[in-house]
Amino acid sequence: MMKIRTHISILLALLVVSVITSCSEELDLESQSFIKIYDNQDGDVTYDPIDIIETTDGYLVLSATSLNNTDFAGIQILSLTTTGDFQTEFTMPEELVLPTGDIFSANERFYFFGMNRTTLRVVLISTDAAFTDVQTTTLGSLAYPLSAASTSGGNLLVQSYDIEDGLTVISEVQTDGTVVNSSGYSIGVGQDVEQNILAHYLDPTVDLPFFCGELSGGTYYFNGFYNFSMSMVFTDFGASPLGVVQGQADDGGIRDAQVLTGSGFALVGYQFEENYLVPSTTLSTSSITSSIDLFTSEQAELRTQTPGVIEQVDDTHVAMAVETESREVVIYFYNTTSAELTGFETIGFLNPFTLGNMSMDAEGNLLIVGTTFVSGRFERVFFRKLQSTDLQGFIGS
Amino acid sequence: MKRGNFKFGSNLRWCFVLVMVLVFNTTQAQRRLDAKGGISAFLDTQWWLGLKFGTNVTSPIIGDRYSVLSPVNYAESDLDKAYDDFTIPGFQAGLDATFYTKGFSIGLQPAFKFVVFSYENRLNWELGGQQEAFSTRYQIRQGLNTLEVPLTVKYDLIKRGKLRPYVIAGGFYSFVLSGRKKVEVDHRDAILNTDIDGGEVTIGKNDEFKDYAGVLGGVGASFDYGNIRILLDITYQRALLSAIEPEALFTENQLFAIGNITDDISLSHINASLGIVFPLRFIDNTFQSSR
Repeated sequence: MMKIRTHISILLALLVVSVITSCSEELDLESQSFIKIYDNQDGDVTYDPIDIIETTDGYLVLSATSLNNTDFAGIQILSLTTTGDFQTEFTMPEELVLPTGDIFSANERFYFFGMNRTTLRVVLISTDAAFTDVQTTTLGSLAYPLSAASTSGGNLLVQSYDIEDGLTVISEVQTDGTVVNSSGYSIGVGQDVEQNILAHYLDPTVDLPFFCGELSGGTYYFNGFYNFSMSMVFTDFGASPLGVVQGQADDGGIRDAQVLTGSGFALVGYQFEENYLVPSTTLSTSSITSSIDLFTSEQAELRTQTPGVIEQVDDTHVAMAVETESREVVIYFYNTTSAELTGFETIGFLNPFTLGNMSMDAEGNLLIVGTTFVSGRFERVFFRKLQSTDLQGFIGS
Repeated sequence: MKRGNFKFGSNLRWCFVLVMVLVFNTTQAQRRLDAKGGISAFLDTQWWLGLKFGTNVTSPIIGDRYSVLSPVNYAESDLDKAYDDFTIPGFQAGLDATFYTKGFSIGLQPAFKFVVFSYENRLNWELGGQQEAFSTRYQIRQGLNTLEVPLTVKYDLIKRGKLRPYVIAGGFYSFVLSGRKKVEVDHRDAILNTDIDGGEVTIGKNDEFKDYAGVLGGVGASFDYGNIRILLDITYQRALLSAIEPEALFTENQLFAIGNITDDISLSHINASLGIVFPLRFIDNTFQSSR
């Protein structure tokens, strides 16, 4: 009997020890992938995220929002915690409209562009992470901002539209608002192209793929209207472009480009209703070529007019975010050496999701923002963080 | 997608293997002792084996609350889910292997067990200044298929006679085999004074649940009929560990699109079981279990 009791005691002790030692793991959203959706109880409010950037204690989401007294989009910034929870939001004065990203950081301040809706001049806007010190600088010579990027020298690039002379203008701007370089290139004679540009500003259903960036060695590029077509133009701020990848009016062209090495690029492109993902190609930066020659394999699952965003994950992999016909956001991961699809992540299931932008933070996490329709009705910002450790699973390393 | 490995299961599973070995060792040792006995030994010491089945109801015990939604201008508590306690019946069926000696029984009752619980949450929006102009209710029913292995000790309050009331105490380990979540969506448009059926969706949800373990206690009674023993008992189980895999909550969740995500929960069950067990040794004409 003593032996039985001893055994029973041992058994129960073992069970208790097992339970105690098998402690539950804690949820730690700072070090893992997550998704958040920012709901506003005001059903009349809409958001359209432009870009997201990491701060020292969380994230800022630059967003467009509707205003009552103008057709131009207003400017709103959401402040999020490191775990993606809503912290606060800041709405710019209604005089400032057309939030234009990307959003950049320098010296613990965050920079993006907007427009003064009265003067139609481009405004460089900067803020600290807490919105306690918001500064604006009007760039008197520039109007109608279209896209922005940063340069390796710590300056900013802004693409804008000169409505008086019908020019697409690319400018290099210091963070204090000083324009150090600027060149304009004709969009082509006539009203058609201008109407497309104005529709981009005023019609929520039109989202033309304007973007700009730096190649290397003083060569820059922008994707915008040049000579009647949505084209990718290479420039050194000279009077004429160095090279052009011509689109086909606004029916065909490049949606986003990511510089790989030299003149190697990853591209998202379109031709009428078809979409193309090009993990790696070489563009001529010194001659006139056509984008249609770059596109070979159609991605039938992507929706017509899908936005496309590319980010470089590591030296040999890129992530391409697009929207599908089933209204999901999909991030495809490609090996840029072999052009092999190494993985993909889908965002969305029951409610439609749209893509806003995607960026990498300093820790190598992929940050994706867009919108979803909560209850199928209320358009709200979503933020998906894919942790760097999870990204390794997508790229197969 | 590559996912993190969770090491909880392996620890506890190995401990259970050890427990099983010790149980076997215990019964074998007792068998050698009792083989010297005969009928009198039989009355004091016996192996019982049989079937056990019944029904259960479940209530989640809420730890940290989670939501995919992050409110911009209302309280986070508005997103709290309302859980139903011990409402939807599940079922269990399995084996009962018990070693009895002098009023005490130690046994294992491995069983397939289906448990289910439900909860709902509600979202409201204001339109044109009208409060709660549009609302959405998500009603979720979560089912889990488990393989449950309880290790119990029973004590007979009356040690002779056909009817023997007893008390039970012990622990259990539940291996989560699979899960299924059914979501029903209903909308209410107060402006149009219309209810809108948002449809329903059922999906398999295996990633976010993990094996869990806990303690149990209860009461019951056995009734001897010929050579068989009929058991009827009611037990309460309380998991000491969360049933949720936290790393999986915010990844690959098909339902996060509607803001649904499971809270950190542990489960408690109330079980009602009927068992029929047979003595394994000395079954012959000289024995009647009522002696």
